[in-house]
Amino acid sequence: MPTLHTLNRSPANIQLFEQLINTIRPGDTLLLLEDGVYYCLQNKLNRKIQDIQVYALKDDVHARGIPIEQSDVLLASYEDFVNLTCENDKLVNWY
Amino acid sequence: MTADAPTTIDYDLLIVLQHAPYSSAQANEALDLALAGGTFDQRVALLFIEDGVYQLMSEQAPDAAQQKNLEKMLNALSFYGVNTLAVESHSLFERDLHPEKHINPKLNLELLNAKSIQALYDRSKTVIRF
Amino acid sequence: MKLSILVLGSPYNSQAAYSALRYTQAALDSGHEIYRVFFYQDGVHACSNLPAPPQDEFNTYEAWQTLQEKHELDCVTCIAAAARRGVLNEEESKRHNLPAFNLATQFSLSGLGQLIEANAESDRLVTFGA
Repeated sequence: MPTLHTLNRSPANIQLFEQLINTIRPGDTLLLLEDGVYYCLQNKLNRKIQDIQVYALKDDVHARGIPIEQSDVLLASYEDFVNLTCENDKLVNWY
Repeated sequence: MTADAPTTIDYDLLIVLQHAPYSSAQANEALDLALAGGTFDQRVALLFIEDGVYQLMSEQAPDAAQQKNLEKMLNALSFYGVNTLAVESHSLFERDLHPEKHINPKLNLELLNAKSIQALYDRSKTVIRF
Repeated sequence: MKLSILVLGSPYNSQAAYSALRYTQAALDSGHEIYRVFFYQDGVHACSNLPAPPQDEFNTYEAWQTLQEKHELDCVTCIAAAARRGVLNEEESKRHNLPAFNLATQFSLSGLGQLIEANAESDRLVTFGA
């Protein structure tokens, strides 16, 4: 069952990220929002999460001045967020 | 939910408790929701993880800090049909908590590893974290 | 799709109420049904009609009230969580013998059963946590 995971906490929240890593599966999707978009600055994410498409909420990325040129992360609008919620069978919000 | 989904949904709601009791309303308000779920005949599972495992300690005397007794709420869960209380075993280990020594013996707890927790998420329609 | 929204964080202490607002707007614009918006824990603060942010700041409170009116959304807050944080309607204020009330008229006070029911009735419950 493909699942959309959302994460709104910064990389400082190590325990929350560990819980997410233990739960997410190849084929799932991860959407970063709020302070979760700071993961876009880290290579750590790509090493830890393989076969997972990662999105970051565009408005939250721009608000925080995060460059995303060299990242595998795709930008998502709120409409994309809604679509991802519906396209996946399930949703888990990490906060 | 797709009809041919490989995993069956056993729980309408999984409540994840990740905070220690008393310093905030997190535990209290999570257990209120669990009891409400039971009242409305919903299938509810609880997962205690990270500092949430401190909620399970025996011999809590919250009167001393003028707090509501969460242990009583936990003990009441089974009367509301909430019988799945899962605990992440690594969270206990990391905190030097030993089930036979520190944990409320009235609770029927399932100790889960990371793999079983992933399965618990799979079997739940919705997850709410406290 | 039938969606319900859960807001757990207060404005100024988290982005939860703002993110939930934007998500709800986008879902409605995309033609989805919002079955219910439920405010719990510190999310109840978003239901007050007393905050007066400076003119040059976005007013999340007013935006929720406007969105509710425009789409006649079922915006509900937990009566117990709201009362303990000082968010009351006229009836509750009188019942507790308090000098004022502040629940915006666009929101209603009810029990956690409304959240449980929203989860049961909706395809997804989208939680905006703090």
